[in-house]
Amino acid sequence: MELVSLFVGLTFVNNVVLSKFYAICPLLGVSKKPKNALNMGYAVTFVIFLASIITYLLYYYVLTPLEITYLDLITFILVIASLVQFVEMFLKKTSPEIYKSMGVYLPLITTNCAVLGVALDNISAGYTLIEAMVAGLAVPIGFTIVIYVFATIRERLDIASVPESFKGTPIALITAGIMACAIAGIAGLV
Amino acid sequence: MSIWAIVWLVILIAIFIGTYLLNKNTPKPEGCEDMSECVGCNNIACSHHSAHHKEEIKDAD
Repeated sequence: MELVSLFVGLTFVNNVVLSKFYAICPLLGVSKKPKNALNMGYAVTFVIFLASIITYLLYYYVLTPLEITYLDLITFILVIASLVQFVEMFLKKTSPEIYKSMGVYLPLITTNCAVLGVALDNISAGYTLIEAMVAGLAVPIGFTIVIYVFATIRERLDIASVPESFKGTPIALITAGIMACAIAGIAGLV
Repeated sequence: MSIWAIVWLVILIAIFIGTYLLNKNTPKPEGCEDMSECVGCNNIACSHHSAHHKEEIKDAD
């Protein structure tokens, strides 16, 4: 039950995009078309899940015994960058279809701060491995939901009558702000 | 900084360089050669932006 609560909490209530403002860059950059937003969401889910497990294991089984936990930030950055390169290479070799569907969004994940944020949050929150895995799944699912909903709203905004000075990024930021307020409204759910 | 910290950093950097070179030298699957163009945002400093893609085509010609 605790894991379900953690999953729902991280997906909706403590959504990383709208409550912590991680991954704002892909939220604004890759939300012009819902299809692109979904592809980005799939790629982020894949990488965050793997990164959560690997960074957790490295922290507790390498950095802690060697007493070099102060290197966690640089370790996680390099691990995530290497992981993205490895996953891209693996998909090129074994699954061209998945590689094609993720497209250019896979290498762009290296700069997605939600990946690093989840890895660091897993350690600072003191999660167990199972909890870190649940977090590694819940957070990107929350990200995917938000970026997809945001993309559908932006698609409608393109054909809506918006004042000239609000067109483009300003109205997108206002929309993101209203979505953040809506998410804050369900804070008592979990 | 302990010796283990230096060793660990060297290992991590070596792994990153290794995976980067392996990925760079792995040929893209058929039909995916022309996927480096991204129109997600307007950041022309990004190597995936369509502006760089057009330059590559111009250079090839």
